Amino acid sequence: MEPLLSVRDLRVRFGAVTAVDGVSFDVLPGETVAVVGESGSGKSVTMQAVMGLLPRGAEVTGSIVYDGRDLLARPLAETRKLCGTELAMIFQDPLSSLNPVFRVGRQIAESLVRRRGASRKERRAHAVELMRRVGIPDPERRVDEFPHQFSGGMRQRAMIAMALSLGPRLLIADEPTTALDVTVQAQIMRLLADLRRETGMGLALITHDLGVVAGVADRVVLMYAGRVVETGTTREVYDHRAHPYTEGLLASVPDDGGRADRLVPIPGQPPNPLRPPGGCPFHPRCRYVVDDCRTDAPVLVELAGRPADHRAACHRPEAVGA
Amino acid sequence: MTTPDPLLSVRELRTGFPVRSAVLRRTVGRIDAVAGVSFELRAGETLGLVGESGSGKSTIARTIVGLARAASGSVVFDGTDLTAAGPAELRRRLRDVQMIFQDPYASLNPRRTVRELVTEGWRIHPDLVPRRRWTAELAELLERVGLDPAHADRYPHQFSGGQRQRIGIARALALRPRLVICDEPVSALDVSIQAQVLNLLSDLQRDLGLTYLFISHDLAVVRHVADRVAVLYLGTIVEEADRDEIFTAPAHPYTRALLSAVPRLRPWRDPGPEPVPLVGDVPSPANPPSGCRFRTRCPVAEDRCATEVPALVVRGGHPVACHLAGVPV
Repeated sequence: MEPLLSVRDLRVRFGAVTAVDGVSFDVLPGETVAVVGESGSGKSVTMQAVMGLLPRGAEVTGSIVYDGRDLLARPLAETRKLCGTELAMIFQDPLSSLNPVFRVGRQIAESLVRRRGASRKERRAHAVELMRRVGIPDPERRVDEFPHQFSGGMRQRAMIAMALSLGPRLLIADEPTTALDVTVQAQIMRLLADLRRETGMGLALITHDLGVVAGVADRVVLMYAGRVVETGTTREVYDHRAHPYTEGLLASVPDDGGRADRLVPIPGQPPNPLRPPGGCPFHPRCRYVVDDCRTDAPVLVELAGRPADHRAACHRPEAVGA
Repeated sequence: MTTPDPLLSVRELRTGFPVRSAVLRRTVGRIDAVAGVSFELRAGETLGLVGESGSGKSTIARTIVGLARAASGSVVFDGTDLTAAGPAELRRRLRDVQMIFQDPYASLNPRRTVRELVTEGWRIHPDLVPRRRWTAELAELLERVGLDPAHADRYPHQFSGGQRQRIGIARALALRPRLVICDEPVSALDVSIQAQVLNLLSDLQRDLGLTYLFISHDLAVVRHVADRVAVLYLGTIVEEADRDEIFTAPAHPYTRALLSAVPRLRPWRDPGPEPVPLVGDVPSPANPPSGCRFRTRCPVAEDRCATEVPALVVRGGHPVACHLAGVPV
């Protein structure tokens, strides 16, 4: 199957800081791919590059091929045109993405006005329909309400309705449930999974939460310090982790199933982007470090005896989990 | 065997805030953020207070340390009712009760060095540490929380999030508290750093004999640190039990929903409990439902749940506030 989105060797630099350093991954049609990392890993910048949302002054190289077209080789206006029609994005904080002075329904139907032209009545009906589809109760009434009258979970549903309004083929969700309560998070993740199944759209989920990933993602792209350190199908990566960072992250999560009295944290701090360590960016925190790690940055390669799409960037993948 | 007196005893606590009109700021109503909460905390144990937004968990913490005023009820710390104490006595008693906040970025004054931040309490309580001992005590304290004493003259912005939370912990420990209220202490931190801070908190408890009131929305974190757990919903405790019991035999439909909503790390191996679907969001505390406050989202609610407030009493092993405790959902 041709990938819907294919990112190759993406680099994003802000002056002296390299935020994304040679990232490659694909999203197939109808697939959920999770881009996972902690703060500063470059996961959000990667997706902002896809959406053409990077600030002026960002230096971007590599290629971002969407449906056969390299977005980086074409004018930004073309990416902008795709956004809101074929590509849509939802953010962590729906309140700051909704305009407080316009009625929710009008905002949901806005893209319809701008891109297709439609009568007022049609727009309203469209908004009501979308609100019903994302599970907002009593949409005929709530379509005329303002964002502040919506709870956090309902605002995120409104954002999803807005993103869906033109039937996107790829939805990028940047920490969509991080600001929400856990019971509401479960509702939103179920909604996204249902919508993906119904519409066949691809879903790129940016998150720091390994539990959320396990529940919804087909494949996972794990990032650290601007690079992909491990990727593969979710279950394969979780059960046969091959990068020490993956291992460390999984061990840091207070898993509900276990009752270990002591967590195994990753020592140290994430690298300072202004002074990244040489060699493998994870080496100062790695328990398996050898001399090569300090000088040579490992590349993402296949692993002996594992499925071909499971790859890790580590000099000693065999030591992990052994 | 006699049970020793609890270190902290909260009885029928109510804390509310006035709701004011937009223009004239007239009081038009009240929000009972904490609507009659009782619990006890024994010395050396950790009680986890779990709840979602609007549950009142942070307001309980703020009321205990005097940052919010109780409308009624009592907060008895080591024999003294803090809600009835005068300002001087309150200040003296609250030295033993310190707080660690969620956001180490917002809770540390950016213009103060670590030295100033940590020694501030010694300035306020001069009998605690003689001035000539400050440098030595500070160094010891910083080392204890895993910071380099050589960085004592740096400012908060020069530290990472996890290190800043360590500064917050050092600041709380400087007053040699007996009770530490941890209000979402790791929620703002990256996963790999969370584990460091949780381990530090458990080491400190063991070494210093601290008592923790640990407030969190994250059940997995609470399961990791707490001896007992109280689950809050819209200002009331709906269930309270020992840690293992609450996680293996939850009786309140809300507790069950909360547990089933926690994403599993490896759902293919451990699918977890059957999902308990909750409809909608938490209602506004300004206008709570009649009867049981949870009934509007409850999958098993009956007619009487709308009229009779369920009491928090032992039903099948531990206290549960539900008419239908244990009914399959």
